[in-house]
Amino acid sequence: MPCVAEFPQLESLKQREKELGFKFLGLQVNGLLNKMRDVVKEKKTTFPILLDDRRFARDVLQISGTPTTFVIDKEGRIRARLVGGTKDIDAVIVDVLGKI
Amino acid sequence: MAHLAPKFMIVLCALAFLAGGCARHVAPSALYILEELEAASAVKDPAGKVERLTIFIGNHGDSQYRFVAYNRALETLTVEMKDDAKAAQFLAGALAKETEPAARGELLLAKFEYLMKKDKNAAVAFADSLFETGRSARLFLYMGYELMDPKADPDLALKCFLKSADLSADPHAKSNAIANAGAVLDQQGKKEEAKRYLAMAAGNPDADGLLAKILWAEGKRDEALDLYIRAAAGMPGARDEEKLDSLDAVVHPGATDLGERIMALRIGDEGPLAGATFVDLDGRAYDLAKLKGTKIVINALSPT
Repeated sequence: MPCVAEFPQLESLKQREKELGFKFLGLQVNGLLNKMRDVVKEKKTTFPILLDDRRFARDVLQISGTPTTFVIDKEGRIRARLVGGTKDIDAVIVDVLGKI
Repeated sequence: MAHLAPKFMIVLCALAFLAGGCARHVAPSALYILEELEAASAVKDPAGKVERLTIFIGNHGDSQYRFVAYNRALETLTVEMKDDAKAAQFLAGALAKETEPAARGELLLAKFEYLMKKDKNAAVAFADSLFETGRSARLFLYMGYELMDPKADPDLALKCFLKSADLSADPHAKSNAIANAGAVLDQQGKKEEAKRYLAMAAGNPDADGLLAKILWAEGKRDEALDLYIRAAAGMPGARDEEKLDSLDAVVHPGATDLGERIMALRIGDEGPLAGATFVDLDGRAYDLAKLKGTKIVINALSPT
């Protein structure tokens, strides 16, 4: 499932940040600036998209592809790594957030 | 008012100097660099575009975005200008300049991908020639991805994945390469060897899912289901894709707790998230270290 397909679910997750007490960050792993801006406009997303200019996702988080989602607890520890997209990714993440 | 301005500036600069601002070199932000890259890429005349992209690379020799520029320049030279000689010259120049293994790996990969489109035999020969000196795990991984197509060269793909695994220091990267080696062997019908490699990559969702599929076909349903559940823990989409609810109903008729069993394996502890600073698409700054005390969700994505 391509990254863009799950943008609506990610946006609905972003809208629940305050209610569930977390911060949502998108991390763009390639340098396609204009394409990314077009997608943000088309999908009407408001979550921040960080520019990964030092290969943090690839070299530090060691992702093997996109999308990959990380859920981090209050102590700053990585508690879940979710590879690939799925139509209910928002529900999956909410479940994980409730258990860490 | 005008005569006050210089004095005001001196005070400001003194304050900034005390804060370390004047003395420090400030690197251009990722957003600024990407804006410059898009401007260079937007030049209509192909030769002018290559020139601007080359200037960009010269200005930002330490930015990872230079690889986007390399690729765009190569694409312009080969697709728009159809000038293979200039493309080869451009690539040779880039390889002469880049010394770090990962950076060289990116360029060698660009060359391999170009050859794959142009002349598959030449691409295979080129890939084969890299085993002696190539030191980039990513280079071999991505060559493996392209070569694993049965119409390409699965034997060489297998060799690439194993080389990539050897070169990978990180356990996630190593498992991913080994999982792909297992996938090639499975594709070739070498089930026992495939199983051995897939078991070595245990915990990688692709490896777990594929091993589960093989074991299910062999009738080892309990073992297969456990692996499927572990795969779905790391790769949530696998629950639907592999129809795990129906498989679970076969092994555990009447059970309703598949979701809980998946979730129990989903949460672990990979250790602390490394610190890093970023800017976003709108130029706002973020420091992961400052978010400690808050749960964070990071979605690594690309606009595709």
